[in-house]
Amino acid sequence: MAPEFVILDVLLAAIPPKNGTVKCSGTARVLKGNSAQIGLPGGWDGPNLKPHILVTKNGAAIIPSQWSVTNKATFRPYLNLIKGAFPNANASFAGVSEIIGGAPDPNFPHLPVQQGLMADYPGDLIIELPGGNDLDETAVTITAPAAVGCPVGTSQVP
Amino acid sequence: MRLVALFAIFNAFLPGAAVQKAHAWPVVRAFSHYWRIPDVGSTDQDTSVATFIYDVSGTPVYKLECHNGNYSGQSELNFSGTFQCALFAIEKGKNTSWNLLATKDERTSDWGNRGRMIAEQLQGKCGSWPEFGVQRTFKLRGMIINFTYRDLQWIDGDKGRRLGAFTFAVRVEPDEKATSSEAESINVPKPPKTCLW
Repeated sequence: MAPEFVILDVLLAAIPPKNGTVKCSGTARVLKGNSAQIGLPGGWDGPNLKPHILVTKNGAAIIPSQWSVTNKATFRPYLNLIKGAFPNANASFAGVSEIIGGAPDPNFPHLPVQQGLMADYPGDLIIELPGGNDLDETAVTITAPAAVGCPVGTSQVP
Repeated sequence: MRLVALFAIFNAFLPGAAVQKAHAWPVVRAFSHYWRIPDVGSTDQDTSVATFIYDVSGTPVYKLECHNGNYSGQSELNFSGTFQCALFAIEKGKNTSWNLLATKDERTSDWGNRGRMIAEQLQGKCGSWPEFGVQRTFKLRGMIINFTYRDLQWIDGDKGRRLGAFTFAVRVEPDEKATSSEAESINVPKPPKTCLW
């Protein structure tokens, strides 16, 4: 094959398809969430949504900026399509159902909690499991729609 | 030496000598205002309200900020639901507190407090539930803040009933008996989970 076509092939392979999914691998700081909130409309819920976006036992809470979310309304269709696994901890999540929030991290009392957690664990993907346990820093694999891409702390794998 | 000893004995017997001085919150100026929210959730846009609470000298000391769950802007917390309000202490225009509408037991999430309204909480039995429905009161920092959701316009559609429009009314009054640094916990039972609490 002519060199210019080889280069083109390599470049095209590096661009994720608009359809389909991507698989990402990296490190996450996994926090225990508040199980009392399961079954209630969570941080993704909005005006007059039917059905409401409820916090789920098997879902995850995320920091939207780590997933390049600039508009919550347009990101909502992807929430149920994001899955994750923590292979070294024998744990996983199915769907994103909540946004990490609450009072500031005591280590960074003058920052909103999301920024405080990112400062506490620089470079890690921050995940909270409403129905799960604290897994400390651990390996994570994410499967997400190609339009979502890989979040902070992870990179795409074949 | 004798004088120091005498002073110590005198202080020990003074009433309230061992009691710490309570925090002196700014005395707020009473005010009331209402906003008509005409178009709830018909698009993916935000519906917002922002106002300040002033002390008696005219200095803004608190900011009340409200958005719906479509709001994606920068703030101290994530807003969600049909309409969520948060109260922040401010000094020279900068936030100096987290959301003061959350009680000390409601600080593990941005939305687990009565500052957030979900439309179903205003309907029927849920709406008339004291402190969790159309009327909500917050006592803190030398003031009482009252929220009233009124003039509710409901629209029936293929996905059921939805809230089309409402009026959000706020009343603030000074109350020296309200001494907590954040909203006091209330002695009212919570509504059932069917009211989305």
